[in-house]
Amino acid sequence: MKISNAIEPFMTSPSGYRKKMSKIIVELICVLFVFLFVYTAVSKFIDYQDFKAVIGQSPLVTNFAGSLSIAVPLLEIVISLFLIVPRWRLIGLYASFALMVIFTTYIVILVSFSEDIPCSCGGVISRMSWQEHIVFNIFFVLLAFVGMILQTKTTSKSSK
Amino acid sequence: MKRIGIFSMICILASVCLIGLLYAFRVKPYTAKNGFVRNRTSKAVLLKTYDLKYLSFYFAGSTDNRIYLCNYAAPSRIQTFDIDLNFIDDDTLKIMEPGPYKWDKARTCVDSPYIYMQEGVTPIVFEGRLEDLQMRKTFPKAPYFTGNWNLSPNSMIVKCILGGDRQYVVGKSTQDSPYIRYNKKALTKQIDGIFCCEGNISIDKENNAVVYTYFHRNEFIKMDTNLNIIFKRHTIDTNNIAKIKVAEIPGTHTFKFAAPPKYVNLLSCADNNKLYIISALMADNDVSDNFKKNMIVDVYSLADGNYKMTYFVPKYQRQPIRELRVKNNILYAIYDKSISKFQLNE
Repeated sequence: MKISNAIEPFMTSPSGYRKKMSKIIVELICVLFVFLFVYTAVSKFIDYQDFKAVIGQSPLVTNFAGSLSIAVPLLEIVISLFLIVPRWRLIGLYASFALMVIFTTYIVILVSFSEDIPCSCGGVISRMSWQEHIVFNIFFVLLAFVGMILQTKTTSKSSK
Repeated sequence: MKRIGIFSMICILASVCLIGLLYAFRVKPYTAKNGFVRNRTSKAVLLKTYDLKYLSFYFAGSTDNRIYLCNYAAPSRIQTFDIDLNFIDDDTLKIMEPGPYKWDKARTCVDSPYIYMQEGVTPIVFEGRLEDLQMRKTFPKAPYFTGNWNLSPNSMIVKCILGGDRQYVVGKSTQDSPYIRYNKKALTKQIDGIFCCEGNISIDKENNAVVYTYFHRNEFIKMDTNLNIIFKRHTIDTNNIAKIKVAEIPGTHTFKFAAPPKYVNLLSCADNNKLYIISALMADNDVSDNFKKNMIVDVYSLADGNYKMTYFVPKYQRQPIRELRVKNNILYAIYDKSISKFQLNE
């Protein structure tokens, strides 16, 4: 009895409560993403030469190593800015989703088809094994997906 | 909500297309036409395969009726097989003077009746005898090395990076004065002096030959056991200059490849006045499917350095050969977790 009472408010809670919850969740998701992007971008910039060399070792992107080594961390910083500003948050979440999907596809294709696989993700993240890496990335893809849905819901409701 | 669904689908499709395109146009140096042909080819005949169950085994040495395997992950263990790959024994080396060494870099070498275990970071060399495996320190004045090949209890060939020149050199390290003598002329710098000079040493004991085979250029060097150069010869492909790109990481004194390095020669082994080289390159007349399923072993005469013929040695469950030994036309190959024995017919 007691347990079902406790669950009750979540099942049939007034929309205000739900909205608050989703707002908090979106906020948390954004914080996680900002932390992830800023952390990896900064560690890429700090070890810029190293990062450039290592992505040059990738058979897929070796020809674009120079431009990618600037574009990727820069993009991560820009997306973080979008996530911080509430008005642009939805765009930020869309962009995070897209970027994480690209990273994940890149890893999946590299791991399943290529022979040598250098890693250049920045900081402690490059110490992960490839399986861990894929799980980690898919987790963030899902986070961004949930973030997009919740953010759309809350903004469309508040505009009504 | 619908918009998110559509957006996600487009995102996933677009990235698969993008990365797929990058993959399709990736750098693949090994399957392109390389401007040379292999004329005399033969297939190696598989005689036996033995399941080693673990990764990272390597050849420690062999005698007329024994093969010794060691494992980088278990540096003090040694497994003995007969020459038909029947398992005989699993032993542990007894390190009589243990210490804080870089065991993960240690490599064991069997040169019956002696056995050596060494790593070049400390550097430390242990010597023992096969009958009791009691390993004691030797070579008190050994230089730092990245690889070494034992000739006798009194001498070994080492590959080192010399600080001043920042270049790979080969040297002979001895128990007595002068302890180390480098031959700075043997390896020639092309790009950075280190990565471009990377290679493997193999020793043909019966003929007192020390052979250095470069990884990234089409060259091997035959020397005597005092490292006097006898000749330098080219392998049959056309890569005179190492195709590598190296970047210096500022403030760390470290160097890294900045592009996928192009390998020419992967593994090599000298035996019976012949040099066996696993080539990474497809010849213009090689069939692509054949190249994917086999490792290509080119044979050169160590009498004159001329190309003799090529053997196709099948991969094992698509795994490449990690280690190679040839003894009297019998080829032993270690794959990821197995070892195979092949007959090489002329």
